[in-house]
Amino acid sequence: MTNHWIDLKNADVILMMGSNAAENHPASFRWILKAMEERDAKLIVVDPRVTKSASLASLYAPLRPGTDLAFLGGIISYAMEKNRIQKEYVLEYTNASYLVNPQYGFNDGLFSGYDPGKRNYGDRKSWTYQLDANKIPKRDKSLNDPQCVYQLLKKHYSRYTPEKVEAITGCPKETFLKVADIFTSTHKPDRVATIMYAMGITQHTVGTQNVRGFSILQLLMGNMGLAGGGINALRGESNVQGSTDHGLLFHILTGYMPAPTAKNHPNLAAYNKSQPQTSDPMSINWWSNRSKYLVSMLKAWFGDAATKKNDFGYDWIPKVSKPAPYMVLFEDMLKGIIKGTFLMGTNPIVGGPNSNRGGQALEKLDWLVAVDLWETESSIFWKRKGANPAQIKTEVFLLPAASSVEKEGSVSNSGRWAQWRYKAQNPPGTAKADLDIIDMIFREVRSLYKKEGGKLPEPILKAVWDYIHKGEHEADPHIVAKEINGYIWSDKDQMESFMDLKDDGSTACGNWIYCGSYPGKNMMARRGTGEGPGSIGMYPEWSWCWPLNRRIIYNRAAVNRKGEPWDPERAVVKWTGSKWKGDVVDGGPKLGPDKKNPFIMNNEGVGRLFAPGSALADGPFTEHYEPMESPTVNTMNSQKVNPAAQIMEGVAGQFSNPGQYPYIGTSYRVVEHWQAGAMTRNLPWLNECMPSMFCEISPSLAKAKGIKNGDRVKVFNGRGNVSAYALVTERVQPMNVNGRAVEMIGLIWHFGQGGAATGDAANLLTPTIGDANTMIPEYKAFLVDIRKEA
Amino acid sequence: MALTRREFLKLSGLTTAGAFLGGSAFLSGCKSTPKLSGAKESSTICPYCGVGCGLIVSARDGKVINIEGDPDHPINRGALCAKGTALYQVAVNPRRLGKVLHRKPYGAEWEEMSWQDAVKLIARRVKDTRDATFQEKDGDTIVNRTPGIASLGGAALDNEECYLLSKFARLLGVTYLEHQARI
Amino acid sequence: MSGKAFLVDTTKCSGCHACQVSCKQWNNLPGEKTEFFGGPEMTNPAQLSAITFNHVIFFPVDRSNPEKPSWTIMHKKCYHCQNANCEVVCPQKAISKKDEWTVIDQSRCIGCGACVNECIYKVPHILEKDMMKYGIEQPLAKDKTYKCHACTSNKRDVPACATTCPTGALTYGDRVNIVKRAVDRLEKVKKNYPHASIYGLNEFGGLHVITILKEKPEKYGLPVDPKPVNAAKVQQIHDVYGLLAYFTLGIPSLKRAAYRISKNLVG
Repeated sequence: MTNHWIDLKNADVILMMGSNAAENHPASFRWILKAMEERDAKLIVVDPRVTKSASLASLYAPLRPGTDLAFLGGIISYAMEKNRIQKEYVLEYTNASYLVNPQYGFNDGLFSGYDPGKRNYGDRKSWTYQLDANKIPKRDKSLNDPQCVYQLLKKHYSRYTPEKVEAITGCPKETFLKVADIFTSTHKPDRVATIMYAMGITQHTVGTQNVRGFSILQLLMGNMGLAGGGINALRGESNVQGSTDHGLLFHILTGYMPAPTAKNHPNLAAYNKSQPQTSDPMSINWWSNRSKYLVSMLKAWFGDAATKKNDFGYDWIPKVSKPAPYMVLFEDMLKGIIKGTFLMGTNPIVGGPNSNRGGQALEKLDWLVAVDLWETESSIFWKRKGANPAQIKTEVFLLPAASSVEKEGSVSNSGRWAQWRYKAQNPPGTAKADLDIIDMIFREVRSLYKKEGGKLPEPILKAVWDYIHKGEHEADPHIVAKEINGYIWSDKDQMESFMDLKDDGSTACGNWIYCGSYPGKNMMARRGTGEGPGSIGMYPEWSWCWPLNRRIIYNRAAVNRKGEPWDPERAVVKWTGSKWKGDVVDGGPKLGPDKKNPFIMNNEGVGRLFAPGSALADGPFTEHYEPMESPTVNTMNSQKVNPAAQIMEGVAGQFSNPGQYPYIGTSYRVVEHWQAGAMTRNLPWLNECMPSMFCEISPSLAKAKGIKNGDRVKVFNGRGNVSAYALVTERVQPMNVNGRAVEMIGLIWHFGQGGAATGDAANLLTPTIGDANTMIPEYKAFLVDIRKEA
Repeated sequence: MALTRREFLKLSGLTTAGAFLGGSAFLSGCKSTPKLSGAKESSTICPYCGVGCGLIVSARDGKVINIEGDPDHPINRGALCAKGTALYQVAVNPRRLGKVLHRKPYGAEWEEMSWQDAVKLIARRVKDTRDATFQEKDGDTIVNRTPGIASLGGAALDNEECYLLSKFARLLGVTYLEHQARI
Repeated sequence: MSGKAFLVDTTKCSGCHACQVSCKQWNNLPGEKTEFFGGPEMTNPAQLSAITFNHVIFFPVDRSNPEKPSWTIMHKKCYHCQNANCEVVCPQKAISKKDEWTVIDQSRCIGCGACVNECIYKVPHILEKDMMKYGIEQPLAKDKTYKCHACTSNKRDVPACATTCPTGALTYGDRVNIVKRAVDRLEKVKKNYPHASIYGLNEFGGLHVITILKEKPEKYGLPVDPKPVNAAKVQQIHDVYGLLAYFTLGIPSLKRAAYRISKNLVG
C-alpha cells in the first residue's frame, strides 16, 4: 500500500477491483463504511461475482475474469476524452509532457522492439525519452507535440471505447460509464479516489500491467501521495510485506535492491554502475544511494571480513543467470536440478499452480525440510492420493514450529507498519521458533565447514552470525532486529536513519528500509494512540512504518509546487517555505516542492504515464490481451495472449481450449479460511462455518448441467479433477462476451487432502503460465468443464 | 475516579510496554471478569491477513486462556474477523506438531526423531548438496551459487526470521529463493 | 424501556462470522461438525443450537437492480424479549431476567423443552450429549437447555460478539440510544432500500436485539406482530407439567421423559 488501512476513511471514491476485501480483509470495511457514512464516499466494486464486498457497494460492475485492462483502458480513454484529469498535477508531477523517442511505436498489439522468436521485447531502446544536450528529457509543456506522452497516451487509449469495453468485459456500457464518471470525478484537486486491489488483479498473464493501469489512472486524477488516495495492494498474509521487504525472492536482496545477475552485475563496480542515473537537477533519484545500502548490507553480513579490497564480500553472495520465479523453480525441481528444499511455513501443493505437477516435482528431491505448525499437504506429499511411498526416494524432515503467540518478533502489514508481537506461552512439545531453527541449522552447517572444508567456505565461516546471548540457548530476535536496523561498525551504535548509511564499510545495515525501526529503542513496539497531524489517521506513534515512519509514500505529491496541499482539509504534508510539516516527507526534509520532483524512486522524479526503458517486460502502455486460456478471441488486436508472457517448454502443450473446456474457471478465498488452509482447516470453529470444498455456479449453468444446489460435482480439465459441492447462486451469472454468453465456475482454493477438513485443491486445475513481469500464475482465468457426480 | 489499568498505562505514557502481569483491565471489555482475573496479558498481531489487527492474549500458568481484539489498536479497535477470533484454537490445538518427524526414503510412515539428530542430518544434507552442486563461475563471471538447494516460504514468518532466512539462503549460495508473494 | 440492547444493522454486515466464532471463544463452546451448507448460500450450521448461540444467516441475493445487488446477511441470536414466552412457560422457573437479559439457569433446567416449543424464534436448544471440556463455570451437560446469555454468565462490559464485529453491523449500548440510532439509520438506509424496516421495537414488549433490515421483516422469516403465548396456555402447561411432576416423583429424568411425551398435550 502506498497509503494505509485507516487512510481509507479519507477517500471520496473507493475503487475495489480484483479484491474482495469484505471476505479477505474484513477490518478494512470499518474504514470504508466510515468514509461512506461520513464523507458520502462511493464504493465501486468491479468483480466477476456479486461478492460480499459487492453487496456493500454503492455501485457494482461485473466483468469477465482477465479483462481488467479493457475496463481500465476504457476509464483512461473516458478521462482523456472528457478532459477529466488533474491538469496541474499531470503537467508538473507526471511525464505527460516528456517527449518520447520517435522510434517508439505500437501496432496491432505489439510495441516496437518485439522478437517473435524469443517471445520478448529484447530491444526496448525505443521505449525512451528524447534527451536534450544535458541529457535531460525534452518536454512540451503545452502537451501538443504528437510525440509527447500525453498525446501518445490519448491516441493509444482512444481505441478503448465504451462499446469495446462492454463487448470484451461483459460489463453493460451504462454501468461502465457510471463507474468511469464516478471515478474520474476525483480529477478535481479536492476529490480523491483510492484503489484497493489484491490477487484478482495480479494473478493474470497481464498482472503487472493491470497495476500499471491503476497507476496511469491515479496519476491522471492526481490521487497519488494524497490522503484517501494511492494504490493499495492488500496483502494476503500477515508478513508477505515483510518477507518481500527482506528479499525472500530470487530477484531482490533486502530493501528491494536487485539480486546480482551474472550478466549485469559481474562485480561490485558494475552493480553500482547499474544504479539509476539522472542528469535532471529536479530529480532526487533516491536509488542513486543504492551503493550505500548494498555495502552496508554486506558489512552486516560479513563484518570484518568485508573490506574495500574484497568488494565487501560482494562475490560471496550468489548471482543468478536466469530468472527463477516459483514456476521455473518447480519446473527445475521436476528436471532434477534442485536436490534439497526448505519449506518454511508454506504449502505449495495446495497453493502452487498445477498441483499434480507440483507433487511430481517434490518426488524428485533427495531431501525436503518442512517447518510448520501442522502436517501440511506438502510435507505429506509422499502419502498423497495416487502416490506410492515405496517408490518415492525423498527424505522428509518435518520440524515443529512455534505459532505467533509463542515467540517474539515483528510483522509488517500492508500499510508497511512493522508491529511487534510478544510471547504468551511456550510452543507445544519441543516445537521451536523459526528463528531458532534457521540459527541451529546454520551453526551446524558452519561447524561442518569448519571441520571438513568444502566449496567456497568463506561466506559461511566469515559471516556475522551471533544471535544467542551468553548462557542462553535460543536466538534473540532483538539482536536480529538491531542488525536489520543497522549500526556504526566501529562502535556498534544503532543508527537512526538510512540517510547516514555509507558505502565505505563504516556502517552495517541488514535492510536499509528498516533503518530507524530499532535505533536503540524498539520503535516497532510503540503503542502511542494519538492520531497525529491533520487528524487523517496516520497514528505516527503506533508501531513504526518504513521508510522512516512515513505513513503515506510519495507524499511530496500531496502539495502543489508552492507547497499548498491539494486539499487543505486532508493535508498530509505542507511546505512552509522553509520546512515541511505533517507526515515525514519523502526524499529528505531540506528541499521544497519547487526544487524537487515528488516521485523520488523514479530517476526522472515524476510519475510514469509512459513506462520508459526496461521498467516493464511487456510495454510502456497497457494493452488488453486474452488470458492464456480464454473462451473467446481478442478483439482489441491480433495477439491472443500477452506476447511477452513466457511459455515454459514442459507445459507448452497443456493448455485447455474452449472447444474442450468451455467454462471460465477462477479461484478465490473465503473469510473463514486462510491461504492453503493449514492455519484454518485445523480449527474446529472455522471448519464449522466452512467445512467443505465448493464451487459457485450460476442457476443457468446448473440447469444446463442438471445440477442442484448442494449436489456433488466434478470440475475438470486436462490437468486435473476437482470434486466439490455446487453452490448454485444468483451471485454468479453468465457474461455476455463478444455477443455470446459465457459461464463461469468459481472455486475456493483453500482445500487439500491434509488437515481436519479436507477436500480437493482448486490448483489441480490451474495452468503453469504467468505474468510477463513477475511470473505470478494465472489463477484467475483458466478453462474447465463441469459435470454432476454420479 | 478509579483508573483502569489500561487508562493508567495510557496516561502514564507507558505505551511501549507489551506484556503485563496480573489484572485484566488492559482489556476494555473485561475489567471485572472472573475468566481473566490474574491472567498475564500480552499484545500480538494477527497472523492471518495483511491488515495487521492487534490482539490481546491472556495466559494463566503459562497457558493461553483467551485471545481477543486489542481495543487500543488504531486499525481494528478491538474488532476481529472469524479467523482472528479463532486464533485461540491455533494456540490450543491437539493437532499442533510437538515433535520432529522424519520420513526415510521410500518409507511409508513418519518416525520420531530428536532435534539434535535432525539438525545434524539436515546440516549434512545441506553441506553435501551444496558441495556437490556448487557453481563458482558462469563463463568468466563469478557466480558462487548452489542450484541444488531451494527455499520457499516466509510470508508467515516474523521479519527477523525472514531477514535471517534471506541471509542464511544467500550465504549458502541459494538462488532458488521464493515466498508466497508470487503464488 | 430501559437497559441495554444490541443493534444488528444488516446493511453493514459483511458475513465474516466473527460474532459466531467470538461467542464460542469467550464462552468456551465447541465447533459443530458440519458438512457443506446448512442453509441458503454460506449459512452454516443450519441454525442456532445448544452450542451455537450466535448465527449468521445468508439470504439469497436479489439482483433486480443489477448495479446494486441486495444480499442480506443477518446476525441472529436470542432476541431477549421483554416479555419472553420461554420465561413464562418454564415450569422449573429456570428462565429469568438478569438485568434485561433472558437467561437460563442450567442448575434448575431439566430439559423439558417447554421453552423450545414456545420460542417462535427457535432460539433455545437442549444439549443432546455431555461436553465436559466445554462451558465456563459448569461443563456443558446433556439434557440442559442453552442459548445466548448476553455474556452475563461470563461477564464482560460489552458482549464478545459486539466487541468483535469489524464493520459495526453489530453494536451494543443503552436501548434508548440503540432505538434512536436505529430510527436515524433507517432514514438513511431507505435511500437505497425503500422498503427497509426495523424489527424488535415492540415485539414481545420490545426486543433487546433490534435489527435493521433492507426489506420487510417477513422476507427474513421474522413474524410481524407476534402474539405472546396466552395466559390460558401458560396455565395449561404449568398444570400439565405440575401433574406430571407429581406422578414422576420429581425425579428429573422421569419428569423430562414425561414432559417430552406430553409435548403434544400442550403443544
